[in-house]
Amino acid sequence: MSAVGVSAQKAAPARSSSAAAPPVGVVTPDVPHLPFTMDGGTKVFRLRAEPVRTEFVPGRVVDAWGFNGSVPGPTIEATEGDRVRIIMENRLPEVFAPHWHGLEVPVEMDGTPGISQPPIAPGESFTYEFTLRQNGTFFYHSHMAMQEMMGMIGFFIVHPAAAHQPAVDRDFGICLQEWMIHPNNTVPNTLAMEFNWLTMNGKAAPATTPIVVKRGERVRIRLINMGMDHHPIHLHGMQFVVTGTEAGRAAGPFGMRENTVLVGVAQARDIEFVASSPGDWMLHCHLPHHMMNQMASMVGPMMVDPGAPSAKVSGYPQDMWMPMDHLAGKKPELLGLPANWTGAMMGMMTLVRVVEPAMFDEIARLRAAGREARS
Amino acid sequence: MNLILWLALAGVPAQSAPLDLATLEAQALQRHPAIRAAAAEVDAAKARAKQAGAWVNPVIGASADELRPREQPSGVFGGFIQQTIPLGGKLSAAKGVAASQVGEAEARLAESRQRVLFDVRQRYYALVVAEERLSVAKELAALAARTVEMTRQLINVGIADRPDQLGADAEAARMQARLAEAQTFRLAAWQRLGAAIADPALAPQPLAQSVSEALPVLDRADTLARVLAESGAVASADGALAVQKSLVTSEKAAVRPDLFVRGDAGGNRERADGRAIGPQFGVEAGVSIPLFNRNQGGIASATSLAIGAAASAEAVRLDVTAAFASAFAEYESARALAESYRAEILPKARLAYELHLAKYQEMVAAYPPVLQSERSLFSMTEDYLAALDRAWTAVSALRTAMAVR
Repeated sequence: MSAVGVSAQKAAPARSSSAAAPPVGVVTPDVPHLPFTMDGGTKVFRLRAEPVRTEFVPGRVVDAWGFNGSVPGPTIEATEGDRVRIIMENRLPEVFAPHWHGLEVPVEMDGTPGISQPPIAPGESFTYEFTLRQNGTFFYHSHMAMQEMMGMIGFFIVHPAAAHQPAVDRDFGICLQEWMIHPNNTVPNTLAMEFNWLTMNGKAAPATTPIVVKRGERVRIRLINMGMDHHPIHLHGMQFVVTGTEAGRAAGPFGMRENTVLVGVAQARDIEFVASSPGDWMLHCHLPHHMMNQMASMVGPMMVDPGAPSAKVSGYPQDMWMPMDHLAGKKPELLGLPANWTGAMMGMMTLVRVVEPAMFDEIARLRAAGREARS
Repeated sequence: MNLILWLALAGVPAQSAPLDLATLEAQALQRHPAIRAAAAEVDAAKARAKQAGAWVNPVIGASADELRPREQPSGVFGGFIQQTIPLGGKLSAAKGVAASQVGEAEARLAESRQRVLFDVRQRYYALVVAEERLSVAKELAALAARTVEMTRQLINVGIADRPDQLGADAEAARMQARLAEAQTFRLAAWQRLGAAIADPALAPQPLAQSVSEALPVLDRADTLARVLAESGAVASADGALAVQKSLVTSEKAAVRPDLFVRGDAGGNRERADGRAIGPQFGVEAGVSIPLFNRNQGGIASATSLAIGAAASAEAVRLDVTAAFASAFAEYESARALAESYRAEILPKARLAYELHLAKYQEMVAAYPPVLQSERSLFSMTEDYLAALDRAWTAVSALRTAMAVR
């Protein structure tokens, strides 16, 4: 091994004006990057499939399954043409096999248990090695269906050697997942067909970390979905174009402007837009039930006064207005948000914050210093 | 006598002190007419004992003898004194019979006290349970009313349907009926306790004991031995046996003859040698000869009755043993059930309710499960109270040496 790779999770570099410049790294908020070592010309990644205790929001503990202590698993980032070796260790109590979703690999590397390989037994490892001949947004996931619903998915980003044009200044990845977890349980019910927790990169709003960009920057957001529901992801305030799918970069030109893209199960969608409008813009699944956490009817003595006139209004109560700023914490990315900004931020939601350079730099400074945003 | 006891005996309920079982027991022992009646029987037996063994009174009289109207002067005029002297231990036997009758009466008094104490204890704990049942019934009725309102709200937002409302209404009506029933039973429980302590006007007031009081742990063998040793019923049967045995002794003593003694004194008016004979004296003594009547029938009868009394005493022990077996089985099963409810079932049901409630208060769960788990908790509490009722009744019986028989 001659070199060690580093994460691209830090603030993305400025866009190069050169058409042959390499692309910027991908930021997957709340999800770490997977480091690698070099073995000759091969990038070597090590993944552990294992139970993971995580939190969707502070205090909401969930016993899921993931990789290397993370749900979703850590983001793999490589470049088209790379030779990669992925040593997968199974620390689950049952058999397992990972599939490289969308990647064109030799069939014996495809991770289909019983077809391309025997499933990896508990305590055993399997080494996958192949050359990346595509670029785009791919993902890895368990090919055991219920293990998928326990959270076993992660980004596998393959960059082109040179950035696609027009090149983006910021590149983000968001993994969409849904869960059914009873209020007093920590273990997801993977057989459920209805869901009460909707997450982006393993966090539910308001605990999702906002995407922060400078006004005028070109932005790419990669959306992947491995669950039971399709998700119409809607961006407020701006229009975008879809530039890629789970098959990689789409052929341009990209003329159809949209603000809502349906990310179906097992699909990836890359959207790109110019952050022209300053502000804090919601980015969320538009299924109404996906905009809440632990959804439950609020009838009962806490909300309804039987003697009040409102109690006689058909349909009352409906609102789920619940400011919970304390659940969001004081991450630098939250700098400057108004009080009670979390009142309608629940479930599969985050913010795209288009800020002026000074604000962006202040947030970056706080991040670099490991400090919190002022309250 | 402490103040509380004095107040209780005086029929003045202490305003500040809750009603205590010990006070009620003292009041019942002091007042209950059944005990007074039994005590009167003891007094009567003691009085009879004083009478038993008393000598037959002597007889004194006048006599005229040898009266011959054609011969004057004639006749012997005088007086006599006569005494029957019981022999053969008859007086001692009679005293023994009387003493055994006193013992029997005292045993019946003890049995009566046990029955009264059993009634007080059983009815007191039944009242404790009735009060708690009333509290639970009130909670259930309130819960049902909240369910009605919650169902209305669910209908208002389209989650529930008209049959749900009807079901909630019906359940609320049922809970109201059960509340009325609990109030009736609670009033009856107070009146039953009042009767047990001979205070029919006993008014509802706070009770010192609660359902949370730990049930005693009783050992089967030790408890049976104590029950047989202290049972008033057994003591009464033994007393009856003692009386019959003393009667056998008495009947046997009756065979032995009494001594008859008589003394005469008089003046003989006849003349002899020209002079009045004058004073003369006589003495008689005799005994009956048990030739034809040796009291065979009386002895045989008393012996048979004694045998019967011994058999009856044995039968009473068997009855008490059988009643003990039933009571102890009731105690063991009810105590195990109550303990299971106290230590495991109710804490889990309460925790389930609290978890539902906490999540509802965090606005991450709906309200219906809160009501459902609360209803389950109260329903299980009712079962717990039923088990306690059974257990305390059995404990009361065992602690009062099976006064209930």
